[in-house]
Amino acid sequence: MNWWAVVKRELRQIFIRDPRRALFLFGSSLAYLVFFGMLYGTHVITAVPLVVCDEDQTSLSRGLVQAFEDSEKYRIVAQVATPEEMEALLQSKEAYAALNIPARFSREVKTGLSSQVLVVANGSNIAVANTVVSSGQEIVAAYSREAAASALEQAGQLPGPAVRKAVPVDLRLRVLNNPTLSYLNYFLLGLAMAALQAGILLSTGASVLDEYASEHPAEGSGGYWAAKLLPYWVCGMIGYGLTLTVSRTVFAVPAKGHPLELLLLGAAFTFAITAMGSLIAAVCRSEVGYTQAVLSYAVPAFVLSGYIWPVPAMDVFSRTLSYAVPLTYTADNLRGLMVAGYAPLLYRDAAVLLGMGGTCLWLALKVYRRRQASFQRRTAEQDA
Amino acid sequence: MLAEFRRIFRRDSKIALVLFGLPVFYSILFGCVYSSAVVKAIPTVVYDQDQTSASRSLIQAYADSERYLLVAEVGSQEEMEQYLQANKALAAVSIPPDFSRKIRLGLASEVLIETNAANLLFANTVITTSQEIVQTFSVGAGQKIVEALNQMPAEALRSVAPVRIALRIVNNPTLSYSNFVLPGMIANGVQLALMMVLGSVFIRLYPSLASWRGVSSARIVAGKLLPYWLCGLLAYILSIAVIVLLFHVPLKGGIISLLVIGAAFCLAVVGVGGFVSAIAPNEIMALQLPMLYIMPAFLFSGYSWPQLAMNGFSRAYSAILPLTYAADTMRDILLAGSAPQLWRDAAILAAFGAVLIAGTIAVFEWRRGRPAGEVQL
Repeated sequence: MNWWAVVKRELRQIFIRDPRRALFLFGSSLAYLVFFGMLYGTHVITAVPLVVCDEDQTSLSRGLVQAFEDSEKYRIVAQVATPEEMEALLQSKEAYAALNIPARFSREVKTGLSSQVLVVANGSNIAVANTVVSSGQEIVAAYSREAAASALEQAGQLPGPAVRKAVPVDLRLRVLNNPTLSYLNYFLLGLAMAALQAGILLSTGASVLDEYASEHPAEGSGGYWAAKLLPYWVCGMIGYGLTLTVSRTVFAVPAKGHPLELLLLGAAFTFAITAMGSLIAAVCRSEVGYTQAVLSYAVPAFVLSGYIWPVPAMDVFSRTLSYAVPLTYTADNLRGLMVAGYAPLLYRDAAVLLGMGGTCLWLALKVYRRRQASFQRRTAEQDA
Repeated sequence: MLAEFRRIFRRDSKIALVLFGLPVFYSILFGCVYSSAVVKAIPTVVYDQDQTSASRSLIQAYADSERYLLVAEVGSQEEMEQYLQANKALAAVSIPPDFSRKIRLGLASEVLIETNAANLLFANTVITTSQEIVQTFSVGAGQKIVEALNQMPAEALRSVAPVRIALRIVNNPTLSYSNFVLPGMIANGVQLALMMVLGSVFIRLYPSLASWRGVSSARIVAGKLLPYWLCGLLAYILSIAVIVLLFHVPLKGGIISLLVIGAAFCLAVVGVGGFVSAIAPNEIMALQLPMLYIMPAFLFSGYSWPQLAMNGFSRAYSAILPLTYAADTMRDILLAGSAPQLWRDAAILAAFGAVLIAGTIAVFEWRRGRPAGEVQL
C-alpha cells in the first residue's frame, strides 16, 4: 500500500466506518468549550450572599452597609439583630459572608477613637473567600478614608489636604492580561486542551488497536505508521483551530498572540499527543484497557500541568511527574499567547513537545513490532 | 454476590486495582501537588525610583512577607516590563521618585503594584496581600504626619484610621488550597473508579445468561452491585484517611456523617454505572458514554465555582450530578464540622441511586427476555 492509500483508508475510518472517532477529534474540545463557556459565563463571582448585623443603627453605620449593598459583589440576604443569628446564618450557608458593626461604632468614629468592623468570610470555597477578602478590604478602606478626611476637616484642615494627610500612601493596582480577573479567560482554554487531548488519544488509540485486531496485520514499517497517524494529527490540528476560533468568536476570549505562534504550539501539542496515544495503545492491546488508561490519565494530567496550581509550588515528586506531561508545555503557553499575547518559553516548549512525540513514536513502533512478531510466532506454532 | 466478590479480587484482580488503587493514588498524588497549601514566594521585581528610607521600608515589608520573593531590583521602567514579559517576575512594585518627600509634605503619594493575572491564583494573592501591606504602611506613615500636627501617637493613629477592618475567615482560615480542593478530588476519584469498573458488569453477563436461569433479575442486579458499592465505600474511606493523616486536611465533623454522605454517594454512582452498563450496546460504549457525564462533573458540581455564580443551564446540569450533593457537603463536614444540608443531600443521593437501580433491574429484565442476537443489535 502506498502512503496515500493508507491515508485515504484512515480518513474513511474516521468519518464513515467509525464516526465516533470524528466526534472525538472535533467534538470533545468543542463540547467542553461550550459546556464550560456556559459555566463560567458570568466571568466573576458576584452577589455573594451577605448577612448584616448592624448593632449601631446610626447614619454612619448605615452608610457602611450601603457601601456593601452598592457593590455588585454582595447581595444582602438578611439583616439580623444579634451576632448569634449572624453565626447561625453562616452555619446554615444561607450567607457566605457577614458584616458585623459594633454598637458604639458611630460614637467611636466621631470621638476619634478608632472603631473596628468585622467581616467574616466562609473560607471553604476559596473562590468566594477571595472575592470577599479583596472587596471587603477595599470597601472598608474607602469608607475609612472618607471618615478620616472628614474628621481632619472638622479639626480645621482644608478638604484636599485632609484626604492626603489621612491617606499618605495610595495603592494603585494594575492587573495585567486579565484585568477583570475573569474566570472564563483563566480556565476555559486549558479545559478545552484537556478535552482535545482526550479526543486525540481515544481516536488514535482506536486506530492503532485496529491493527492488533485485524486478520492481516501490517508489518510495522515507519512509513506506513507515519501515513496512518498523519490524518489524526491533521484532524487534531483542525480541532485545535476550531476550538480557538470558537473560544474567540463565541466566548470572547482575547486572542492576542501571533497566529503562527499559536499554530506552532498546536502542531507540536497534537503531534505529541498523537504519538503518545499510539504508544499507550501499542502497550495496551485491548480497547477497554486503553480507554480506562486514558480516562485515569485525564484528571492528573490537567492537575499536574501547572495550569492552575503552578509547577514551582509543587513538591519535588509531583514536579518531576509534571515534566512528563505534554499538557505542561502547552496549556500555560496557550493561555499566555491568547490572553497576554506572549509566551516566553514557547520555542523551548514546542521543541520539547516535538522531541517527546518523536520518542513516543519510536517506542510505539518498537513495541508494536515485538508484539506482532510474538503474535505471529504463536499463530505459526498453533498452525503447526 | 460471592461470585462477584471473587471476580473482583481473584479472577480479575485488575478490577480491585482500579477500584482501590485509583482513588488512593489520586489522593496521594494530589496531596503532593498541593502540599504547600498556599502560593508562596511569588517572584517580584522592584523598581524603586525614590531610594529613601521610606521607600526601602515599604520594600522591606514586601520582602518580609512569605508570599513574595524579590527576584530583582531594576533601574528603569523598561527593565521592569521585561521581567514581567519574560515571566521572570509575576508581580512588580514601582515606587515613584518623590515618594518620601510627598509623604513628609502631607501630599498623597502612590505606589504602583502590577501583577500578571493570566493565572488568577497569583493575581488574587497579590491583590489581597498588597492591600494589606500598603494599607498598614500607609496608616503608619499617616500616623507620623498627624503626630507632627501635635497629636498624641495613639490619637493620631485613630484619627487616620477611624474604621479598621477585622477579617475573620472561618473554616479555612489560611485559605489553604489543599483543604479546599482535596476532598472533592477524592470524591471525583471514587466516582471515576466506580464508573470504570461498572461499565463491564452487565454487558459481560448478557451472553452467559443461561447459567442464571431461575434467579430473579432483582437478585442478580442487587448481588452484582452490592460488592461494588461496598468496595467503593471502602475506597472512599481509605482516600479520606490518606488526606487526613498524610496531608493534614482537618477532620472536624463526625465520622458517622462522613460515612452517611459517602454511602449515599457511592450508592448513587453505583446506580448510574449499573444503569449505563445495562443499557449500553457494548463494553467500550459503556466506558465512553459516561465520560461526557462525569468528566465535567467536578467543575460543574458547584465545588470550585459556586452555584450562586452559575447561569440557568449550568445550574440545571449540576442538579443531576451526584457530586453536587456529595462534594460540598463532604468538605463542610471536614472543614467546618457540620453540613447544614447533610440529611437532605444524603436523601437525594440515596433516592437517586434507588431509582437508577430500579431502572437497571427493569432494563435487565427486558433485555434478558430477548434472544441474544437481538440484544446485541
